[in-house]
Amino acid sequence: MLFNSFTFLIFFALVSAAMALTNLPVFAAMPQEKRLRLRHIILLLASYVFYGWWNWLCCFLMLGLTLVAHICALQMDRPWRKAALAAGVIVPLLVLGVFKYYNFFVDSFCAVFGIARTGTLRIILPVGISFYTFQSLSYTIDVSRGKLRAETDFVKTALYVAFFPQLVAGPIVKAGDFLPQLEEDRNISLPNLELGVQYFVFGLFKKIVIADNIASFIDAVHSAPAAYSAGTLLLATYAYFVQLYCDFSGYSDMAVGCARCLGYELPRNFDIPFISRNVGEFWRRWHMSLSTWLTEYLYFPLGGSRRGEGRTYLNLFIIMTVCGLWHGAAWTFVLWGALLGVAQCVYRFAAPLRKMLPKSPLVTVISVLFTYTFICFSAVIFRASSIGEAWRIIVYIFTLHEGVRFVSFWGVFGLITVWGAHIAACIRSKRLGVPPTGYYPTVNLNSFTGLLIFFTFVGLTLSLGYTGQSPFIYFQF
Amino acid sequence: MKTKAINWLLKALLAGAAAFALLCLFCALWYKVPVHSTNQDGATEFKYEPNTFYSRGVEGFAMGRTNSDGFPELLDYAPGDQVDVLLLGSSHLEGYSVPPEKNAAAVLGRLFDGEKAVYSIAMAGHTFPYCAKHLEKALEVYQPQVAVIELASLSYDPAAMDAATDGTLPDIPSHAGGFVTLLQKLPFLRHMYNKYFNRGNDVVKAAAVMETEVSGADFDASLARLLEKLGEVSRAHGVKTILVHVPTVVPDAEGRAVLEVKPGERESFQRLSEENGLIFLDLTERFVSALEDDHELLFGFANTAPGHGHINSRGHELFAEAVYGCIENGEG
Repeated sequence: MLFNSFTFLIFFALVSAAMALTNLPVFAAMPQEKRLRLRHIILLLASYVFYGWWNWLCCFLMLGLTLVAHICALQMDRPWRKAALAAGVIVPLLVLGVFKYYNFFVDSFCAVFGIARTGTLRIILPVGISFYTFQSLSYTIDVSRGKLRAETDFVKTALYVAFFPQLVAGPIVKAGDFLPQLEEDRNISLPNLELGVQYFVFGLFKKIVIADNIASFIDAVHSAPAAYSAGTLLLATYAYFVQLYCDFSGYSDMAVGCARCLGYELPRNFDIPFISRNVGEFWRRWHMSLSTWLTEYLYFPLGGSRRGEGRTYLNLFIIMTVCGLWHGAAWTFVLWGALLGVAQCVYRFAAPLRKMLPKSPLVTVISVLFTYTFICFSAVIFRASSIGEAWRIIVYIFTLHEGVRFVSFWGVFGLITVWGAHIAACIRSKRLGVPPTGYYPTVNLNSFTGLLIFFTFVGLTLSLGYTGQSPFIYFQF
Repeated sequence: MKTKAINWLLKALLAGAAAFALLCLFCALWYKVPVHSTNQDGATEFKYEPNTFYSRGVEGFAMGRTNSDGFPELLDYAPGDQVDVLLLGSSHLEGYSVPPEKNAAAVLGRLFDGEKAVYSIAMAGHTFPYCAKHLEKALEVYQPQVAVIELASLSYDPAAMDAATDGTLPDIPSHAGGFVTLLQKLPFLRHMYNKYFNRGNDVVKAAAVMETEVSGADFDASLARLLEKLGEVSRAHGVKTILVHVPTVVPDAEGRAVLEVKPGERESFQRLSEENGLIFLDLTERFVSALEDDHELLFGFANTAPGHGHINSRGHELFAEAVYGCIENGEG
């Protein structure tokens, strides 16, 4: 069920009510351990209902992966810890590989060697498999590294993997950040609801007002690029990244909001990425949970930047290509990742040249705009159904292709709103004397003015929101 | 604790009421559709409250005022006023997403430069079978010389066409009267209802049931009966009736026009119209040329998907030019 649906609203209300009931005196009298366990069981059941709503068979897959992670982690202080670690890493990767990449590699192999397409599997891609697979991997690896004690309570391990607010599209939460919260007496409360509901509505606005309204424009342009003028294609290129940002960060905000309502804290996944001055900074601000995961569990084990410049470039290229492949089993994603890897290498290589540039606001602005333009154009590859289609669009733009001139109101609105919000965040950060960072614009729901603003914002979101079919983009990953 | 809760509840209720008022104000400019009620003179299924402000920002941006007759028309109408050209059709020709001075009726009126009075009674949901159902009454009420009927599709269910011929096509209900009317006058409430609770509203359902996967002998037989009836009605009133096909044209990946018309339908309409003394004005070539040669999309607006939805102001202009050419010079 989607976050922006009445079904989810009812589901969440029921879960919240069940959690709130555990605050009643009859449960308050229970020992804390039992009370917490009750809450964990409620959330775990709710999470499996949430996931099973798509396809109940996938619940068995997730349960299986959770069992593997739980059992392997418990073996880390045994003589066979290396085998347990290997199993804890290989099994999830194998599952991910079969469900997500098997057909892709078979098709690519056949295409390269001119063999008729054969041996592919007819399987559906379970929603969110990339996310919870990475979570279970990080849990096993962190236990093996001694960063974390293995959780003996299976319910807690299962809840960490399956926690429904972040289950199907992140953020990818580290066990060390979530499991300690399960030891604390956390639950629904008025302060949590006050913030959680606002985060949720903020994310909902980004998703259904900005992202979904832009989507109809982008979909039309990408389905018939030859029909549109260079100007329209350029607007679509810049607007698509706004759509992607609002879709994904909107979902993440809704996930953070839901978790907050229930008393739990999830990490933010985005930090005003549009103001990045280079691709490296971009990846420290965009889908931060994934970039952190790849840095800790791939980049550092490969040697990071500790094995010489050449090896550093190779490592950067590898993790960005893997990042691309993580997003989807298609050469467009691989190429997109590789392109960003090359960009990171070039940026690092050009360090001496960069040092010669004066530190001025103008240079910063140019860097930001250049990085944004580069990211938007690379996203054309991300969005396109084939490399050929992406190349075609880029060529049309630079050859001033004649076609339908269409200025999308929502495209322009999205660009202005998102950039305006980024600039506002930068101004606020400067006033506070901190590095540029985003924030949730919340109001005090105990005041009349705060309530008025909130209710009006909810009404505007519902009025302007798109009501057609609008799956979250990152569900396909 | 209890006092705090009550205080908060009161604050929330007041803030909610104030927010509701603000949102109604916003929707008055964003989405305000006049209440519609059954048209007693039978020229259409329903019409709007007369002399009432309307606005549309959900698809295109348009504002206007319904005329004294309850139609989104620039010209007022009083019984007995002269109407030379009467336009009938669906939401495409009603043009509620297009500024009133840019819709087909207004453009056509300017093209005639005062020589002919053009009047549109096109209304949402009035697809071809519904226009056919009401044609006789419409000609009695407005007594035009020319009747123009918009056909946004040619794929009509034989059962619907037969019902239109036999006069058994179900009415599109209007929910006007009392408390329901009052609720409909609150723009935000109406907008929320239409958006989230009434997506399959009666008008949309009426339009949707018309367009089905049909072809072949059944289609031709039903169409023949319906066009025969239209021909008889037109002759009886001394009216020239023009059926204008407004095709949906979207670009394919190569930028070429793709039509959503099934094979044989245009030919059937052409042949059977001629047999019954009706004029079939097919805008397909014009619309295809607009896309392929002039790079113009005649459907869709800046705030919707390009090429989809209702015809835009350029589409209305093309429609009007084609109808003008047909009436004045017999072009088609």
